[in-house]
Amino acid sequence: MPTRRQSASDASAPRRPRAFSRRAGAVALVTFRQGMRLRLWLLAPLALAVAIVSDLSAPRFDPVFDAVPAAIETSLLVMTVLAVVVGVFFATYPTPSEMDTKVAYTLLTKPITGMEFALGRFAGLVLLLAAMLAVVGGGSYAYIRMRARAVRALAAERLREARPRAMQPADLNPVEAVARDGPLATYRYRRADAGPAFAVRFAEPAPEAPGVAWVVGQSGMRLRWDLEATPLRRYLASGPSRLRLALVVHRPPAAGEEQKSPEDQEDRQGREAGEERPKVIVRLADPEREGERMGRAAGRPPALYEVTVEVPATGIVEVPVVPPAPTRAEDALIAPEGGGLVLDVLATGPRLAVGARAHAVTIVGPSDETAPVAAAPTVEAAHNIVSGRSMLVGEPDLPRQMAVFRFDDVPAGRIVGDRTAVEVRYSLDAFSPATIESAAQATFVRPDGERLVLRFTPEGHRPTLLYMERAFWSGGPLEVRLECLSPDDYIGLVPASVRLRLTGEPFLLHYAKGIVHVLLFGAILIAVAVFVANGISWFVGIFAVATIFALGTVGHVLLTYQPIGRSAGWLTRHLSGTAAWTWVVDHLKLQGFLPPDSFVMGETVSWLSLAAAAGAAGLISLVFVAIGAWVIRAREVGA
Amino acid sequence: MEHAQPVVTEGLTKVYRDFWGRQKVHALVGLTLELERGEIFGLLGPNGSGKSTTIKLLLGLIFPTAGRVRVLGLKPGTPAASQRLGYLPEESYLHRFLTGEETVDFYGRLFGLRRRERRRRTAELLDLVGLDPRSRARQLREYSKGMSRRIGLAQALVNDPELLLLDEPTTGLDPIGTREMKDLILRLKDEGKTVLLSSHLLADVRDVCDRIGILARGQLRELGRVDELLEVRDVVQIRARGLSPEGQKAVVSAAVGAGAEVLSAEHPTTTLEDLFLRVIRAEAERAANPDAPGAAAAADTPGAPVEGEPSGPSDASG
Repeated sequence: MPTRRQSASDASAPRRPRAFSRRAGAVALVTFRQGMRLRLWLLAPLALAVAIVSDLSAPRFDPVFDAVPAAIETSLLVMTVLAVVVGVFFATYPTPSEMDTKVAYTLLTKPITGMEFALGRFAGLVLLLAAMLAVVGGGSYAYIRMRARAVRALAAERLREARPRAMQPADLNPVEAVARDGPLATYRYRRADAGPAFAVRFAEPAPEAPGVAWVVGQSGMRLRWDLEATPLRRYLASGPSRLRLALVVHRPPAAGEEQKSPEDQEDRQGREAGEERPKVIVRLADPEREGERMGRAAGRPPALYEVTVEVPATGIVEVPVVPPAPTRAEDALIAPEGGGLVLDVLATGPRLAVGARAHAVTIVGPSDETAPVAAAPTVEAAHNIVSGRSMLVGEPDLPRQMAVFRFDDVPAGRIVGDRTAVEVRYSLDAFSPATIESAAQATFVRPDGERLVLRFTPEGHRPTLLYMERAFWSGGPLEVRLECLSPDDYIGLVPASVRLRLTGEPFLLHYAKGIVHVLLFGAILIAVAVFVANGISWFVGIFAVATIFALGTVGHVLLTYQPIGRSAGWLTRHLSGTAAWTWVVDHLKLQGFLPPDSFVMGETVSWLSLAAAAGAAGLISLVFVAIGAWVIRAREVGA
Repeated sequence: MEHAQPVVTEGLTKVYRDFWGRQKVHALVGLTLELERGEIFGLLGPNGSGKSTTIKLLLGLIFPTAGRVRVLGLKPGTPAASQRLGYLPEESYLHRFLTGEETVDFYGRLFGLRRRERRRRTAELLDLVGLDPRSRARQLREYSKGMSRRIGLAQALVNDPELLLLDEPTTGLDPIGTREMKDLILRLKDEGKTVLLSSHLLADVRDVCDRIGILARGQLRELGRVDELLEVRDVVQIRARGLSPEGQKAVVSAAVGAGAEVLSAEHPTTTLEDLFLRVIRAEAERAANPDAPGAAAAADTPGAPVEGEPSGPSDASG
């Protein structure tokens, strides 16, 4: 197909920036008017009505804590649908319709460049969407405020009727906070900068073992070494090998029994027949395929092998390792074929804590050649307990796993009032006996080591507000340690579980940021639609937008699917795991531009994050608009 | 560039192809054409002869398969060329959701006109094409075909173009509108603009065009000045007012005596368009001033020439 090119001599007419914006503005205005005169604006009040009716008719698990988040979520969902309607169904309409009605014959004979046309069309559609979102958002905001007033009154009523809780003073009661401050006041949070990291808290007397990373039994935590870069597989190619582990074991005495030294324990074990030695579970696993343990595909070799071994008083454990074989080797580990290779050590019961330092692992080859592993173990949550959650188990008088969250540096000016509220959200998982009133403990640690310990009763599906007096902490770094105190109980934590209530933007601004996120999402859809619709028909345009949408999602899934990420070599080494990489992968699927899940629960959207999303959306839109600009001028009109 | 010829084509060829790239239609074959500044050029031809293809090529809406085309010395379709060009499509292909005023304003913006200039130009053009203030505020979807043609013309003139491409400019217009359109075209010529028009209405073309080209099956079959092409060289027509029947016989006898074959000697007729206009205008005058005696008289006088328009025999072929 012949294409139109503009030679330098042809471009004799002045193309000033103001004239550019005037022409693009003309197309934008006419596109906006088209939407308005097609009565598309009626969708806005309709969407608002749908949002309100849906919210009023939906059941609430807890009317005090769920009402406002649910109203926000419903309104954002409806606005997202509106963005899809405008961004896909309407945005693919104007240009093909101008081709069909031959209006393009008139329009494209005017001195307008492809970029002016495409950019104008894009801007007009974004303007239309923005106007509609403003109507729905404004109405929803008024509705949410109304709901918030009702919730506050309801919380006050519930507080009057509430029975006093044994472990939880009134000022720790989140209902009290809602009754006092209203539910919208909670929309000013900053999540912890780091965490959860895990450590073990020992009942007194604590073992003196500097540099040891500990795990306790039944916590689902493990000590992990990455053996991928070691010569283990090479050794195995020559024959059976061994893993030599130097472990530290702490087993507190049973009630009435005195604490003994390890040697004493060994003597006792030698004297008292039948008493068991402490045991640990040793695993070799392919970390990417660990999840297959539950539902392994038939015919594939397992991704995880484990043996349980006794730990002698010396703490030195040797575990045989054999090459992959069709039959299971008793009391020996098999290195999983291909993939990654990690070594895990887990404690076997709640009374046992197992630890290790750096240089604790040595690989011994078939000819007794040795390869020490210098790295210290990391303490990680076991993969197969609950995906994405780390569980704490409580045994008040035994070593306890605790989760540590950290705030790097909170400006003093952002602290609310005389008391600072720390919100803890967690889930009492299905592993927990559930409805019991479990006990938990939070320890706030200042940089100078000063501590504030608060005991509280976690309530499932609700946040707990914990207050620090300003005299104790008024900004700067802060560490928050969480422990479960109830035996046989579990607390699930995710990185966003601990958040700090701060001053800052009013709810209106918070909500507006969410709407801007929806607008950015819609703008990308519109840009894609403008690009596609300039060249193809309305129907094909919709199909193509859906395809690009799906491609983004597939790309996201592929990049987050670890085997592919791992085979992408340098990406994994240099980018994977960095905040920027995570952000890019999240935004590869277009849904990533919508408000984050935590937004509904009140987490502040930072200006930096919003600016990054806006920049990325602008860049992506510009690319598609530029393609659309080329298409509109490269194709023949009326051929 | 300023003094380049308005339109130059050399061997311009356009072949339409189907989706698979196979040749479908030879719409235009080797068109070589030059338009002079300030002339009105008529492009004639039956349906499918290549008129619309030629205009689309001049506008840059489609691209030539072979040959060369320049508009005002520039490549068609470039913003620089479009800036100096006005186009009235065959039907007024305009946004039907805009009002008349918004339409002209919109196209004024596309030409980069400033707000004040656009306002002035919009009012001026809507007056020129005869759209009353009430119609200007209505959306184009409510316009009659004639009103749409008028607003189409207004948008074509919004940039005060040097070259006007008019595709069937009188289609859909009533005789008054047709006459006004033709008057306007002549006025534009007087202002020094070049006009290329295509039309099926041969009488319209003849009334306004300086030169014409006739296309048939994509090829230019005839090109020249209208008066030269239409001249019947072996026939002489004598037109006289107040000649008595005797005098008429004497003229005929003289012609026969000179060895000529007298084909006809009769009173000429006016055109139907002239008759229609005279009746309608007289009616309008009567409505405006019922006591004026001349109004009715003018309407009743057959063959009276319309102001500024000498009448002639409707059949010029002899």
